[in-house]
Amino acid sequence: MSANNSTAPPISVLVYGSVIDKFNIYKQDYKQNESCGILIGTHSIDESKITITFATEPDCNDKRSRFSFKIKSNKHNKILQNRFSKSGNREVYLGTWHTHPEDHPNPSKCDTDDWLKQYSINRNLFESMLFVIVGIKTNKWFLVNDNGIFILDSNLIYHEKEERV
Amino acid sequence: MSLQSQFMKFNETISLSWQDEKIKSIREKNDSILDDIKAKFKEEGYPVIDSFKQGSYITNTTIEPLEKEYDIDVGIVIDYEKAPENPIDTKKKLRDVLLARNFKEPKIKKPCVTAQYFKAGEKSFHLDYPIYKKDQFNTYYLAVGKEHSSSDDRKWEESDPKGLIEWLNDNDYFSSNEAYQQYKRLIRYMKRWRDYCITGTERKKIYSIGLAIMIKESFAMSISNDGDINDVTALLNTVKNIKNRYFTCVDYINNKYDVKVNLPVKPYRDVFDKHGSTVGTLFYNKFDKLLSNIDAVNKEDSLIKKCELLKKNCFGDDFPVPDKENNDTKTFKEAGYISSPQGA
Repeated sequence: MSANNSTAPPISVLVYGSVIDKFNIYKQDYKQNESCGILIGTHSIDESKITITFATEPDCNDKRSRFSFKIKSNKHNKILQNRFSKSGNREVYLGTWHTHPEDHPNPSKCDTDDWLKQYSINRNLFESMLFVIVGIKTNKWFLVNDNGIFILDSNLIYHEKEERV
Repeated sequence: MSLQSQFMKFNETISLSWQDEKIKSIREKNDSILDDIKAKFKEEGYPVIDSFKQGSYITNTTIEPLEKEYDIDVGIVIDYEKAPENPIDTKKKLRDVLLARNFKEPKIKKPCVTAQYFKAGEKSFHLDYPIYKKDQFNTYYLAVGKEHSSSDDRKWEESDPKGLIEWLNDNDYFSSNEAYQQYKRLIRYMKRWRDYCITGTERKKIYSIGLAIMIKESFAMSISNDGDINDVTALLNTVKNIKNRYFTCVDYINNKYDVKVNLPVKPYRDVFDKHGSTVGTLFYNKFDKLLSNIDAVNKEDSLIKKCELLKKNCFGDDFPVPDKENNDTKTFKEAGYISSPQGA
């Protein structure tokens, strides 16, 4: 299934600077393997805002190659459970991130199938989930809900300002 | 919403960068004054070979001033061979430039020439110009002395302004970039704490450079293995370390303390030299108060109350207090299921 062309729901996404820093570390501007991890953060009560507070990093138990990945390590879940309890049940599994060796990334069928799978397993808990593909020059954000997959307008993605070195 | 996110918002509110639109007019004035200084020094036979911003703009730790007076600190460098023997000559010429630009009472201070800019309807700012001569080995010598200093008190003193900037900006000293960012945030928090909690002439004695050096040398990172950033804990432990490290009790009956913080680069002098026990005692008591205020914050359960305490006792109105207790984020029964995500 390809991304839905109708308008995405009016959700803004706040991304912590430390999350963006991690994306930049793993972007495939050289011959690295694809990297992947999960996104952790909060939903506002009115579902108008999702805040990404943390992104897990690839672990040696994850399967990674130049053009594919599979998250197998249980470290991601350990971090998630830890943050969930520390935040008073507020920080949850939001979705996944992974890198593509292309400047402006596009999802493969394998990507979108997996997103729909992640959402279908969690749809009793969450109204929507977030997925991002980290390209060499730009990142592309997607929202998945009961109506399908939507590309998120980059104007709705806010980075929390932190000093860059 | 967490206490940490309130700290992050506070950090963003108080941070000020050299590129900020708010200080554009000041930047432009600074450039044009610099042009006049260059012209004057050229005329005198010791052309400016370099100029560089010193101070917090270059270490990214400038904060929005509470009294709306912006500080600018620009090093002026001339060639060693062409520099006059008497360093005060260069300082007088620089003062002439400032006088010609209608600054009121530019002053020759021991380490620099300084002036204040006030104009109704415009941002006021404070200028500091240290003058250096630089030799062929890239060694800098600062023009030290006041206008009527005796020949013993005026000198070109070896100094390392760029080394100091590098020392403060040395990312490799820290275990991670997150730790480095936390250190820089602590400097901004502590500067605002000083501006808010210490007033008048006392405030002016608590030099920013002294704070920055103490914070770096005593920095107690608080970032968990999972990447949980905790600025309030880092602040508490760093201030505890500072209290243990730089103070000596010089009068047990009246609880007087001396403070000594050496520059980490040449000339390695004590930053608080000559103020030792007045500044030391003031500092010591204020740090004590800060520590007990942070303890009170940690004992409080409610996020709103924590923030109110920080605002009232430590940082002033720029510290954000949320309207509601954590109520704007949802709570969930479960954290969600990660079902072997994959992709290509």
